[in-house]
Parts: sequence; C-alpha cells; structure tokens
Amino acid sequence: MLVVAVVAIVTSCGDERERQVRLKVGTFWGGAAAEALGEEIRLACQDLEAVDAEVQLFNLSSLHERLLSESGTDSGSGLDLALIPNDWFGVLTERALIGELPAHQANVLRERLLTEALQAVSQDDRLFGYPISAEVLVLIYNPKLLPQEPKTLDDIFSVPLASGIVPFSIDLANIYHLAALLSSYQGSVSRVDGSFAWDPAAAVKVFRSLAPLWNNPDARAIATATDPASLHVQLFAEERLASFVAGPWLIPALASAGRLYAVAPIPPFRDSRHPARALVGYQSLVVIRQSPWADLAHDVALRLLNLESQLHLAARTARLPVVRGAFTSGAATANPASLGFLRAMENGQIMPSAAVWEQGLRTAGGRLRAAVRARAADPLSLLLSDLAEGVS
Amino acid sequence: MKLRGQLILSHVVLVLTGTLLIGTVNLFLALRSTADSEKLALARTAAVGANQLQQRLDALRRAAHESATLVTRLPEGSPVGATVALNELLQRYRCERVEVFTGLSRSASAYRWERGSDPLLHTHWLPAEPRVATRIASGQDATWVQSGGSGPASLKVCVPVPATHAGQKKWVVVTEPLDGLLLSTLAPGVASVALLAGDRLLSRWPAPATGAPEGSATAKTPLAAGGFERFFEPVRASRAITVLDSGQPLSLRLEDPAVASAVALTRSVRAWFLIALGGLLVAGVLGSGVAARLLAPLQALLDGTAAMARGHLMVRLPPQGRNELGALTVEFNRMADELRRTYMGVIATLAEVVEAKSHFTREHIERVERLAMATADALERRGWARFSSQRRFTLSVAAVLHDVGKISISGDILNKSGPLDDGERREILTHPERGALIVERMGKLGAAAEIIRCAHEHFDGSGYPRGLKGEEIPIEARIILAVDAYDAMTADRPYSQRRSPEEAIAELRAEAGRQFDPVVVEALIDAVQASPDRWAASSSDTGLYRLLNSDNFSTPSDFNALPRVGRG
Repeated sequence: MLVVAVVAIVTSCGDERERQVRLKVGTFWGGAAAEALGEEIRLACQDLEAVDAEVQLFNLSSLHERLLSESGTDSGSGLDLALIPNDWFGVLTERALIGELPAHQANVLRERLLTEALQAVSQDDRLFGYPISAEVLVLIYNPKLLPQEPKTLDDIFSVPLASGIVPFSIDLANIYHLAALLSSYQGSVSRVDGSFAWDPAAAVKVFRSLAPLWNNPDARAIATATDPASLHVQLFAEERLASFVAGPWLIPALASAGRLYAVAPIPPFRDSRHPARALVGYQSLVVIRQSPWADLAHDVALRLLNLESQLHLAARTARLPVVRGAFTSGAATANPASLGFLRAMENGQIMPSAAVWEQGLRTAGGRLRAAVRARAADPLSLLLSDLAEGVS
Repeated sequence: MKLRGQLILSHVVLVLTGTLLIGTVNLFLALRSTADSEKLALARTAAVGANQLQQRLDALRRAAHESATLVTRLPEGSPVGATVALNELLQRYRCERVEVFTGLSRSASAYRWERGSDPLLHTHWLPAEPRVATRIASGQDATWVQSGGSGPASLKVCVPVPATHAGQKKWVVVTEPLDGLLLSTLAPGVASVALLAGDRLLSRWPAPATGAPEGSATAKTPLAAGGFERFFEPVRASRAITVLDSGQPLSLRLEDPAVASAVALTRSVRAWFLIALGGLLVAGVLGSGVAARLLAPLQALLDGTAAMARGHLMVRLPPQGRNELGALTVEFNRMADELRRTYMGVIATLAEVVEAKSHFTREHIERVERLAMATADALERRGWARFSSQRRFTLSVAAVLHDVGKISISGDILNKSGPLDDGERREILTHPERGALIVERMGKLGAAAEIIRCAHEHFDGSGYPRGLKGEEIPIEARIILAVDAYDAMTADRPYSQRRSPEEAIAELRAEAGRQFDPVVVEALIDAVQASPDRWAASSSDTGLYRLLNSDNFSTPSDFNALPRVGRG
C-alpha cells in the first residue's frame, strides 16, 4: 500500500501546466501592431488543440541580442517564434539558430507569396522564414505646406515656408534612412555577394546636398537628435515640420494627431544619377531551432499567411501585405497611404538576407552615427572631411 | 451475495473509506498551504510593482525639476529648439511628455514617442482637485492623477519654474500615462493589474472588453489547470504606493486566478485516485486471501455435509482450532459418527445375517472386501481408474453386502448341494435385485445398491439380472464379480474343490473378456501377486470390517479423506 501511494504521489508531481503548450513569440513591433500580431497568432493557435501563445515585446536591439543568445540558453526558456527583419537572416542561419522551413510549408509559401517576399527569406533557394509584411522608408509630407509631391529633395528646400517651419528632416545618424539617399548617387548599396556598399564619395555628395538642412539650426537639431522620430511626429503635428523620412510605424501616430499627411517615395537630389532606392524590409516569423515546439510553431506561422490575416495586419500596422491575393484583389492598396508605400517598395531595394550585409550595415551604421553625433555642432565641412575618409 | 464477496467488499469499503479520509486531509492541507503560498507570492509581486512605480514617480519628479531648470535656459523664439531640448531630457528619463505652462497657456512641450505609444495624450492643465490646485498656485510641487477621459489616466508631476528675468510665472508638468504598457511591466505574468486612487479605478491591464462586466478581464487565464480554477476565488493583493497631493492613496491591486491552488487540487485528486486504485487492488488481493482463510473451514464443513448427504458416511473433517469454527467441526464429526454408527450397525447386522443364512463365512466377506479394495488400488496404480474416498467406501459397502439379497432366498435353495431346477435357479437369480432393494431402503447407500444389483452381470452381457455388458456395468460391480469368483475358487467350498491361486488366475484370464473385465482381471492379478499370502489368511485389521468391529468410528481410515463437493 505504501509503495502504491508513493508511486501515485510521484507520478502526480508533474506540473499541470505542462499539458498545454505555450508558444513564446518575440516581436519588435509595439502598440497596435503588436496587438494585431498577438490576435492573429492566438487565432492561429485556436485551430491547434492545447496551444496558446504569449507575445513578448522587445525593442530591435534587445530582440537581436536575445536571439543571438539563444544558443547558450536552455531551450525551455527561449523563444519559439520571433518576428524579425529579413536582414537578420544571414547571421541567424550562419549560427544555425533558425532552421529551414519544412517542405510542406515551403511549398505553401511558394504558392502564395510575392516573389520578392520569397527572395527576402531565401538562401540558396532554401526558405528560412515566413514573411508576413513588408515595410519601406518613405517621405511623409504635409500637402498643405508642400502642395506638389516633391520630385527632388532640392524642390523641398526651395519651397518658401514661414519662419519657424522646418522644410525637411531625416535621421542623419541612421544608416537605414540614409541608404536611399546614398543609392541616389552610388546606385545600389548592396554588392553582388550581398555585402553593404558604402561609397565615401557618395556619402560626401549626400551630405553636401543636405547642406540646406545642416545649415538650418532647427532642422539640424532635429536630424541629429537622440530621438528624431518623436520630434518628427510632434513637430509635424504642430505644423512646424513640412516633410520627413519615416517608416510605416509612424503612420498610426500621425493619424491620431489628426494632421493631414501624404506619402511618397523618397526623392533623389536634383543632380542624382540614380533614383533614391529605399531599403525594403520584410518582417518575417522565424522558428527558433532549439524550440521544443518547433513543429507547432511552423504550423502557427503558416496560418498567418492567409489573405484575411494579411489584410488585418496591414490595416493595423500600415505595412504592406505579402500574399499575392492581396495585390490581385486590390485590397493591398485600399488605403491611400499604402499607394505611396507601394510605389516606394517598387522603387526600393530588398535588404539582402546575407550575414555580410548585416555585419557591414552595422559597422557602417555605427561609424556614421558616431561621425554625425560628433560633428552635430560643427560646420558641415568638418563632417564632410570625416566622411571623405570613409566610415566603413 | 456470497460470504466471500461480502468479505472482499467489506475490505474494499474499508480501504476506500481510509483513502478518502487521508485524501481529504491531504487535500485540505495542500490547498491551505498552496493558497498561502500563492497569496504570499502575489503580495511580493505587488510590493515589487509598487516599488517600481514609486521609483518611476521619483524619476518623474527629477525630470520635472530638471525640466524646470532647463526652461530657464531655453532660447526665446525658438520653439523647435525648445522641443528638441526637452525631448532630449525626456529621452534621458524615459518619460513620455513634458509641458511648460505660462499662466494657463502652454508655451512649450515635448514628448517622447515609442512604438505603440499615443502621442496625443490629452492633458489638461490645472487639476480639478482644489487641494492640488492650491499647492500649484502657491508655488509648491504637486503630484496628482488625472483621468484621461476615453484614454488612460495619467500621473502628473508639476513643479514651478524658478523666476525668470521676464518675471512670468511658469510651471513644468511631466506626464506619465498609466497605460497598459506601464502596468504590464509592473507585474509581469499577473492576470490583472489595476491602479487605484482611493477607491477609484484609474487604469487596469488588460483593459476589459467593451461592454464586459467589471472583473471579467480577470476571468480568463491562458493556461487551464485541469479546469479547477472555477472552484477558487482569484487571489488578490494590494499595495499602497504613495499618497497623492489630492489626499488619496495611490495603490496597486493585483489579481490572479488561483492556478496554483487549482493545480494542487488537480494533483491531489489525481493522487487520491491513484492511491484509491492501488488500495482497491491491494484490498481485493488481501480481502480475497483473508476470505479464503476464513472460509476454508466453512467450505470443508459445507463439502462434508454435502458428501454425507450423498451417502459418503465416512466423512470426517480435520480439527480446525479453538474458535467457533473448530467447535462446529467437532460437532459435525460427532454427528457424523452417530450417523455412521447407525449405518454401520445395520451393515454389520446384515453381514451377520448373510453369514448365518448362507454357507459363506465371515472370512469370505472380509477377503472379498479387502481384495476388492486392493484391486481398486491396482487399477489406480495402472492409471486405469480413479477411486475417490467416497467411491472406495461405496465399493467397500457393496463388497460386504454383495450377497445380502440371499437372505430373502429360501435356505433350502441357497444351501442345496445338488443341482437346482429352473424354479430354484430363477429364485437364485433374483438375489442381486433383492439385495439392492434392501440396501436402497437403508437410504444414503443408493450407489452401493446399484453396484450390488450389477455384481452378477458379466462383461460379455451373459450375466444377470439385466444382462448388462462392458462399460454399462459399474467398475465396482466388475471388481466384486471377479474378486468373488477368485475367492470362491481359492476357498474351501462344500460343493467344489479348492484351487491354487495360479489355477484361479488362469481361470480368471480364461474368462477375461467374457465373464470378467480384462482390465479388472489384470488389476486383481496384480493385487494377488503383490501379496499372495495376505488374501489367504483372515484378517480384520483393515477396511470396513475393522470399522464394523470397532466402536470408534473416529479412527482415521481410507474413507476419511476430506471430500470435495463436485470433485467425485
């Protein structure tokens, strides 16, 4: 009897929570976008018995660190799924932190997705993630202050504006933002092998062309500030900023500010030989290889690639869908703002999913940020001489 | 229900009751311990969350004071520059909004946007609470909570700006939305986090669905713990953070479903089921063993009674012990002795009458009985037949009384030395039937009567009275026929000459298959050859004859083996 009792107690010691799988999903999205992602993932989980999801919010850098530290952690405490930009794929696949999609899932993706979206998550024809949206940097401008869509950035600087209104702003220390302007002088910012191409001469040309911005104390203060995005939203809402470069994530903030805005591709400079091709990123769900629930995570991720989920995510995040059906039906361009994003995306360049790209971009970005911050109070000529020496 | 089933059931009930009691006590203790732990854990979480919010409030105050100092240095006529400067300060303190008011007008502001935050936080200058407004007007710092209408409430800190050369009175107000983002970080993993000013709910995370009743946001938990959550009240913990300048205490209230208690209940119930299941198995085995031990004497009594009812008069049960069952066994044996004594008396009387009526000697009857038993032994040894104690007793009685029918035949015919005429022969041929009827009338000896009735039937069907043949004749009758013939041939008779055993055996073999059963003949020969002298001498130290001449029927004998009902 005693033995039976002991055996019974021992066998009953398993945690009841173990009966239900709880997928941990990490995302760098916030606010309404994160809520929408959580809703869609939970809906997907409802189709699978005894599966639930917990969405954990990170900022970009902390999510990146978390994913890279996955290899050293206990698989039970890590993430199962993560939403990442596609230019992280290179390092993650190189370190074998994410795995190739199973054949069934890969076939479904090839059937449903845009070719560009597939390209963004592919390496050697192998798929490593589930793209769920696309984002691209654009020019957001106030049509009241700038009645015509600017064809060049010089057009913006030439528009007469009242005193105290800044015509244009861009996060000068941000390599992602500056890449479009660099490409207007040097063509593509990526080489054949996928590495980031930084041409010091082109960088000098860009900053020289941005002299009207640098020479405007208010505009320079915004463009070199620690938190340009907040300043862009607030000053645009207060009609003290006519235009700025931003991503779709600022659209909900602008919409709630009640200020009229228009979206257009980032224009090149007047003397540019190439269009300003903004970087196009695909936010993709990846399954962490160490996840004990990798098979379930693949199932859940695949369920987000239906038209209904895509349109819901697009509406809540102001990003573009990636399934073909959304474009053939016209649903992807139902929002007037999405047309501007679509034009920018068609004009843009997909961020390569190679490890060399991410490493090169990070290195160049860090040096650019250091150079701009160091010269924020100096004349442009000093910054130009720094840039001429090269930052990569 | 049989007694055995009742005994097992009583064991099972006893064990179930025991495990139920133990399980209930264990469950009660486990639940109480778990509930205490759960409350304590939530109280700790509330303390940590309250401390975090207190630190946040301190950071807001520092930001407000630093902003006030900054405002005195802001470039006049450069709103963008002021915004950028204030934004940098907010970035440092991770605050959301700072506003500078000159009189009742907002003269400068900045906010820090993060993905997901609401840039249009509706704020209202000068709080409605008179106590706070008075503090602000009198140039003191003030902290209060302002409801945000449809949006989240906000925590506000107001500090006066040091006097400037222009002499304008200015105030800096730093605002922190008490939204879900903040609340969710105060107590991660807790189902419901609420901030209250006094009894007034300021903010709650997660926000209740539109139209949902109060408290419904806490009802759902993403993990089911066996479905037992509904049996428990949610665990609640509150912690005061600070006292606002409005005089209301700002407090944090946490609410979590009692998952741990539900899990503990699930475990206890599961453990109880397993223990009960194990207990049932053990109780079944133990109960079965105890029942077998208790019921064995009763079963023996039952078997003995049934055997006696079927005519096995020599049944005797082994002593059982000094309990009631032992006394019952003694009484049974005493009753059986009396019954046996009566029957044995009748059998002895009949045997004596047969001796007196015919020229058979008592020794003949005794030899026939003993040789029949020896032949049965030989048959068993050869594996050709099996004789239970009851069959042995029946064989023995039939051997003793096989010619009892002759007592109803006229002595003249019976002892006639010359040849019998047809009428006399027919008279003689009736004695098996007459003997059987006599024995049948004694009751309980029906089997022996049937053997007596067939004791003159021949194997080939040439016997009498019914002309049975082969297996139709009971083997006991076939034995008695052969043994009687052998003894008749080897004994002195008035009308015939005694033969040697070898001659008698040759005669038996010659008649095997005709008058006698060949198998019985071989067994009889085995018995005779095993101990030829034994059958020649008269002896009364074994068999039924010994019992007939003894008053002590309690003496163990070949017939006393404990009978088993239904096994022969």
